[in-house]
Amino acid sequence: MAERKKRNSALLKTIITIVMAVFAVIMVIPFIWMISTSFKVNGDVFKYPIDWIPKKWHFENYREVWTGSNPFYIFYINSIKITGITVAGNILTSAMAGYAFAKIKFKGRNVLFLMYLSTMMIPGQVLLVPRFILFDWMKLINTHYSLILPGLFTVFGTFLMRQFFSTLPNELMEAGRVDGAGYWRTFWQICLPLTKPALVTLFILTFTWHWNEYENPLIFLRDRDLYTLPLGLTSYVEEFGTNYVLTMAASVSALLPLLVLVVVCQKWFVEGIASSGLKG
Amino acid sequence: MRQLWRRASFRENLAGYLFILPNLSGYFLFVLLPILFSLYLVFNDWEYLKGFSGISWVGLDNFKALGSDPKFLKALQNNTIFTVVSVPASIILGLVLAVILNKHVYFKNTLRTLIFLPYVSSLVAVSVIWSIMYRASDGPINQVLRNFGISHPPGWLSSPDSALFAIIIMSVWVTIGYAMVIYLAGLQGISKDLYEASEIDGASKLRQFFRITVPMLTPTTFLIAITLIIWSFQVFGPVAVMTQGGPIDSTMVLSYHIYLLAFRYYKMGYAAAVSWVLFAIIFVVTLIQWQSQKRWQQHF
Amino acid sequence: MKKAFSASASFVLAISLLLSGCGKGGNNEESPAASASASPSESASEASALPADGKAITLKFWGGVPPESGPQNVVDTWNKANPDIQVEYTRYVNDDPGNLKLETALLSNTDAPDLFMTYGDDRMTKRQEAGMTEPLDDLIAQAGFDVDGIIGSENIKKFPDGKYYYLPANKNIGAVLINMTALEAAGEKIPASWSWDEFAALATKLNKGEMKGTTLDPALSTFGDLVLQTAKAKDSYIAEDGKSNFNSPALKKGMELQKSLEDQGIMMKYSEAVAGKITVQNELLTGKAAMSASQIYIIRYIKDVQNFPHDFKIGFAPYPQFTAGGNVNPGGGMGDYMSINKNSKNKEAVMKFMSWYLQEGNMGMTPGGRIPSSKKADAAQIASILIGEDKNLIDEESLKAMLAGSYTFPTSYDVPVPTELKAVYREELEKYLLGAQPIDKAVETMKSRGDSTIQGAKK
Repeated sequence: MAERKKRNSALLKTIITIVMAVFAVIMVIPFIWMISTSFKVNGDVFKYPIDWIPKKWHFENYREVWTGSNPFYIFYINSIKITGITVAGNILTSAMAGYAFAKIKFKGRNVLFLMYLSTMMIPGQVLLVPRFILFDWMKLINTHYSLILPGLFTVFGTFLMRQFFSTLPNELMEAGRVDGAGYWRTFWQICLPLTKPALVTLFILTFTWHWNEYENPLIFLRDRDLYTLPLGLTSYVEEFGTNYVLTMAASVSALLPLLVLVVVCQKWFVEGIASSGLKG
Repeated sequence: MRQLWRRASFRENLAGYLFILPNLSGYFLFVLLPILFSLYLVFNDWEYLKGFSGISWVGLDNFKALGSDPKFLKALQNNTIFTVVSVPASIILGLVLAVILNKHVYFKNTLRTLIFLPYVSSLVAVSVIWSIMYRASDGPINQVLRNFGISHPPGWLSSPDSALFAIIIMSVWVTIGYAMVIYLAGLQGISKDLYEASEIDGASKLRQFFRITVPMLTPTTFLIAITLIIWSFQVFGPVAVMTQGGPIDSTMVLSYHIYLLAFRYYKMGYAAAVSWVLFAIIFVVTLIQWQSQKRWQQHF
Repeated sequence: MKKAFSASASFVLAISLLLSGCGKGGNNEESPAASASASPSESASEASALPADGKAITLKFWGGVPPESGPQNVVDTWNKANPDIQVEYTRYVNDDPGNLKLETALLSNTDAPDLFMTYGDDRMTKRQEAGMTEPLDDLIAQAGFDVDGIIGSENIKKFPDGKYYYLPANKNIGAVLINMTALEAAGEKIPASWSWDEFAALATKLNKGEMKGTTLDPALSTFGDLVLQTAKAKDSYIAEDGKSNFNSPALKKGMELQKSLEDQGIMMKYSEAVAGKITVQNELLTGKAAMSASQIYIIRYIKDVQNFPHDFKIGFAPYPQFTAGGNVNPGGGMGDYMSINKNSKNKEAVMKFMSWYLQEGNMGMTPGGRIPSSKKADAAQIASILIGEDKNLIDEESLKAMLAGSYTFPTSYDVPVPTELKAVYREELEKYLLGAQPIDKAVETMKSRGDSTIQGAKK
């Protein structure tokens, strides 16, 4: 009986896996197109019917992207530097602020938090020029600081961390206090380790955003040697039309680190609180 | 002083402010300052090519102009449709996928990665791909539809009837991964004991889902809902790359309207006014959500 | 205890990191240095070019053409010959965000461009009105640059104060490009002078199977615009009475021409072309369309057989005319407006470079399909650079005839609110082409909206 139940659930699991696999394949079809295009020549990009597998593989597109007149490795290094520093700093400031908003009852907490939230609601387009003027005045224009500094303090990160800290039971804090731990130790040693999945999530999300950020770098950076990957992609926008094959080869190249990152982070997802045995 | 320090509430306040201080200081400088400036612009005309000397006071004129701006009204309507359709779709699909991919499949990690892939890639590249997939006469989507015997497939981006929905489909495709990942993180926080206890009570999986999973995920849902609503009211990239608001304004959205006003027509003051109206709308929606979340949480 | 210590230590570290980050913000010396060392080729040429006293001026030059399609070569040539005035080229993409980048850079106090290109009369007018550009008359006199002899003052916009604010570096030539194989198969020859009706007839004849009769890049032009320009080359959107010209019979004819070609399947539908990001080079060179009303710049793609493998020749015909005997050249005319930033500290040096660029330097842009604006440029040399090795892909005779012709180029120097008027035209055109309104309604709405837009701007 138990044997059969086990076999049934294995069968069910297989069926669900297949359904999900089909769904996943549909989700990635555009990427298959992207990869296949990156090996073609421009004249074949819009051919009908589509050649999903290129007739001839043009690896030279990648050679052009990496070693051509707009060498991609410079943009890579810049993106890694900016994104790395920004994300690390942002996680720290967000976790601290999120913890305070969720677990420390200080005066004006809700009003301040609502103010925080509301500033997410102003569309970035109108802030672009005011921000430019501010940064120009601070002499940050055409430096990586213009991207790193504002990225260290994000409302979204604070919001995300607040929501996750608020799911932790208050008894944890009280237990910590009984042990004589101060605010910082309660935060750093007791609560923070429990939000590992949230931290990993914040890490992936903010990494993704900064990696792909386009408008701010466009306005703030001028020297090509300071460009980030999305700005590097504009090198393939010609005067009349776009060089699609190089754009796609560059996009695939830009996507790879993110892909690796997501795969690596999966491991930490699984070791969540559930496995660390938190009592509800 | 010492007495003050002994007071628990004082220490609590101090700790709270010290914890948010790093974030708050940057917030004031880089977020609030430009926002306050944009608030000032609402009452002005600003031809920013002239620098600060291009600012001239116009009082409430910018708001008066809103009522007779057909594009603004059309954009408002499109944004509402966009939000009402895309946000619930992303949340529901994201939740279902998260629950399934949390446990019930083989190759969990691979499947999660594939579904999350659209979200991590650059929106500009993805929009280019979709605009090619959507091509009416020779795009792959319509090719498939014709193979299934549909002789007049939709015009997608080229028809005013379907363009907005084409963009909604693409946006949901992107944000499913976002909702799924945050829900996955949220699911890790639910204690196994809850499920074990209800299993002993003989509750079915479906009942467990609605009685344990959904309520326990309320803060997570709140987070996802708020952020998705904000972003869907600010949707910009796909419209800018794929349709530029057309055909016949059928995909004109507020942020693209703002963008055109500011940078194509150089009406920075009016653009700021539209932005603040957009802000007011999202703010009210958020407040309603905020209140209902409180009620939800009290419920449990 | 140890853990607590390390935790608080990291906290302090983080705070100090943030603070130092803020503090260091004011000092951006290190980035230009880093940028110079990162590109070996540039720094090498700079090093060899530095004069003995080490006081070279560096000029920042911004333009919309990718550096590898000409500008880098031109600038390198100059830098080698002029060690005391070094020019650095920065490319901005000529779209809305790219122009925003240029304009904010011009407002900036650090590393602002000294010299920049503007594309289009509308943007030029905006920048001049905003006071971003330096009046050039004194500098021109100082440099001894002969505007009339080299460019011709009739080819430059007169601003209200009578001064020059830009000098054009490029002369565009519009042409109808035709797939010669398809043309011969249809038993036709390249027309020398023709009407728009004859154009439609030829498109119909060339339309065979998978190959459409004609195509346009909807981001660049529509038939309404083109026909209107051949009827009224000067300020085509404005009628003689100062009101909008949208009730012109030429505009109506062009719109109807496009609608009828679309309805018969001779050209791709406008909304599909917009959504599908159609470009002339792709349609023409992959055999999806036989003919296109476009410009000479397509030559750079014709020669790019790596990306557009094809074996047919492309021929060049002059634009069809609205009135017989006209010689208007839509899409053609002066372009690449060079202006000097009002805040530049090295205006004389910029003028020196500009004067060289306009007389010699811009010849280096010809392989990319840009023809120098100079009257003294050698037409035969231009033709041979344009064609290069590809005589089997370019119909030499018709190209040379095209280059030798003299044309009336459309200008829009004195159109008020050009961006807004274009939007009015495009919106009503789109509704008409999608069948949402009949032609008369479209024209009527355009006219009244256009008039009130102009009226509103005058207030």
